Amino acid sequence: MLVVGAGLSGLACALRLADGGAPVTVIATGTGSLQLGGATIDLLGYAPALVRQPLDALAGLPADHPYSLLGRERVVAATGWLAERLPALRLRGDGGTNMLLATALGAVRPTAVAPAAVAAGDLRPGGPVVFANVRPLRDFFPALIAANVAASAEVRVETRAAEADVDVRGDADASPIALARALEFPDQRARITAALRDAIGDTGGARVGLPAALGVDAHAEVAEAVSDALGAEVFEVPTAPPSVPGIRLYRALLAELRNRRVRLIVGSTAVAGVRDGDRIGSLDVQVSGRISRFAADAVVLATGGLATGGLEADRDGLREPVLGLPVAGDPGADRYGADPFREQAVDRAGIRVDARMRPLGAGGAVAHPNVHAVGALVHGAVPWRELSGNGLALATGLAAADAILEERAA
Amino acid sequence: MSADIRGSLDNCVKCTICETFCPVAQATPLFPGPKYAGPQSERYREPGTSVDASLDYCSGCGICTHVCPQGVDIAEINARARAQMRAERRMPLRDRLIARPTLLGRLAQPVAPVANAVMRTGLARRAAESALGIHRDAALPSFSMRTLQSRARRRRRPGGATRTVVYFHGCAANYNEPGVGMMAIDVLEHNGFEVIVPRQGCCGLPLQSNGNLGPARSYTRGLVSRLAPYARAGHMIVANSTSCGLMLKREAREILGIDDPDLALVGERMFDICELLRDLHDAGELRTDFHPVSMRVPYHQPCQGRGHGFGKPALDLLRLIPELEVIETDRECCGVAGTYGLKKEKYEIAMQVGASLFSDIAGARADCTACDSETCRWHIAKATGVPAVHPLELLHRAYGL
Repeated sequence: MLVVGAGLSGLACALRLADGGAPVTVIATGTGSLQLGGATIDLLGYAPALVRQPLDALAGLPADHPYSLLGRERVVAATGWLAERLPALRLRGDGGTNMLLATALGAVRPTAVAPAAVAAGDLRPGGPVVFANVRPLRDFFPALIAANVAASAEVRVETRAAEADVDVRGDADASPIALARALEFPDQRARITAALRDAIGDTGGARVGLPAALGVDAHAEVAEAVSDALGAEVFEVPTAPPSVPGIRLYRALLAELRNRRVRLIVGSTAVAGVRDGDRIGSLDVQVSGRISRFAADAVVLATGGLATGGLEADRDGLREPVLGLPVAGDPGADRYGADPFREQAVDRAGIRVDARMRPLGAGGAVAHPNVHAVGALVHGAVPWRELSGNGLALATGLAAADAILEERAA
Repeated sequence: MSADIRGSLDNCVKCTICETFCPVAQATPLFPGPKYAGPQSERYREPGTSVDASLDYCSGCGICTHVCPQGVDIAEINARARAQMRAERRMPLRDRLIARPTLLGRLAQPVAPVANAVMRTGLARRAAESALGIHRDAALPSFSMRTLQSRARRRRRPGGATRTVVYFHGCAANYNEPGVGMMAIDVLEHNGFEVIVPRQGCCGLPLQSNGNLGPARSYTRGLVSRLAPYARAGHMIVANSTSCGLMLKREAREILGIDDPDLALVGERMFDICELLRDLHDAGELRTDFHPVSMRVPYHQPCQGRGHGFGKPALDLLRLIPELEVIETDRECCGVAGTYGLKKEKYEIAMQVGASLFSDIAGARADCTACDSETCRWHIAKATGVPAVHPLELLHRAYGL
């Protein structure tokens, strides 16, 4: 089995395939962008108003939305799968109701599933919250977050901000990952939390929102120790990239893939498919120095949408660069409207698939019976606007894996 | 710089994934990270205006390029800029010396026992540190009395070969570890290959990574002229040094800017030895008459191995050996990056980069560590006290050769 792409849809698909006993190779240009996101599973956040009960809201989506193709049961199962499969991630939430979390700018954002330390920042219960930072960390502004959260119409939370001046590693600036690593050393952690405690003063029973950098490898230990040191419940607020929770998610998935002996070929790009009748019998992959041919029983394209090269655009239209699959919903040259904050004509473009995630040709028939398209490559969703990206990635990735495993069993 | 390499910086979306992986930026604030030093600074660079001395702290491991989801050639951009910076300054004698393994090999080999004994003394190492700037604790290879070339010429060849392969052994196998080179030949011959060992020199990689691109190009061209006739005849070329193989597959074109059809052909026919054997196994053509090897072995893939974009073929092969307990390590880099960790001012950084790998190995109660790259093996063995072997050595043992 060849899975092309190392984002959430590709990695989840690969792991499910490997769990089902299939030999899997993942081919990816780079490491995928899990490390940019906050490791939350957004199922459905806006439709178009803010969604409180995402699973119930699925029924209102258009018939050609990927969730509609899959049906509620599959979406429910996919939402719960990651928490069950990777318990060490301590994911919370099941898609029944959305949590409301503060973003790096203090906007209030709905999500279905989040790591425990992130979910602890759910603003729905109310109560006082202190947003705090250590100053060497760039691009994290607790006063801005506190003011915006307090002004939100969606939640009723009393907020304030605090900033601690403390050396992180002898540098003027510290990235989230540098802070996360520093917090893993007990002596540095003690220094940093002492400065935070001084800056915050009496918490008065408030929760404390900190930049999402509570350790990388020793996250659970760091989160608990920082909470103890501050004498308060703490939670993680997303930072500008890199995202430490995203790095944890990526590492956890990779570790499981390694345990399952999935072959990971990162740094190489699939460039073409080789037809075998109506099937794709192998992929040509640009590796160092040459094109290498990889035989495949099944191919999963998890290459992403326009932003990540899964779709390419020229002046006249869109194309899918690996297999040349027909792109549905291509608006041609008039891709973008006047208002950049509204849905764009190009947003739903992608590969139209059946319920087994098999691409459909121009006539509506399955194009290649052993090819599957998943994640942001699939037609019919507007992840950035719906807040549905990782939910779609999981649901479509697992659906493709299940279809392949069924076929193998038959 | 070739336009496609420099032009790739326009694909950078500042996502910082390279910075989360950069082992050097995590170890020291002296290096600001690949994005900052690479696509961000490159826009402002002009010939004669190298002001960002921090670039010198890039070890050139190449992980940034490998992980970039947007296809930006970060490491290559930085290598070119570093060379430009060094061209504008005086190149230390050390960096000209340690980057010429063939020269060192030719000088040391006739007097190998003496040279090895002398370089093991603390006095010589302190002298080398103060005179040359080679850190006294850095792992240096010893030299062999007989080169691989001479051993290979005198070996007994088995009959019945069904196909031919050309062996590009590189400098380390020739001067420092001819035993490893002979094992490579044995394993290939065991699998039915007739192994041709042409005369050959350095690929130019150490000079390139020390920013000395002009002489590096001469070495690369010299080597390519030796190997190209075989590539034209349709032979596969196999390398057991991951970094030297990568040099011919990719880096000579991308970093040295050598645009030459012979180089392209040699690169296309170049296989890392584990890649070749793994592909053979995938095709059902590798002999699997392995005897059990009851050892516990962490496997560390060298950074340059990742640059090949072929997964972890050594790991796939080691898992074929009965009773061998292989532990896949999950660390980016051992720190040495060829000659980087030998330098007085960078040794501590190299040790810091490798610290988590070293503690993983120490905690694994390992019989030995397996790693494809020679400089990594020397560095890891010195840092951990656990012997480090090429994966090939374990295959050789399992075949009972």
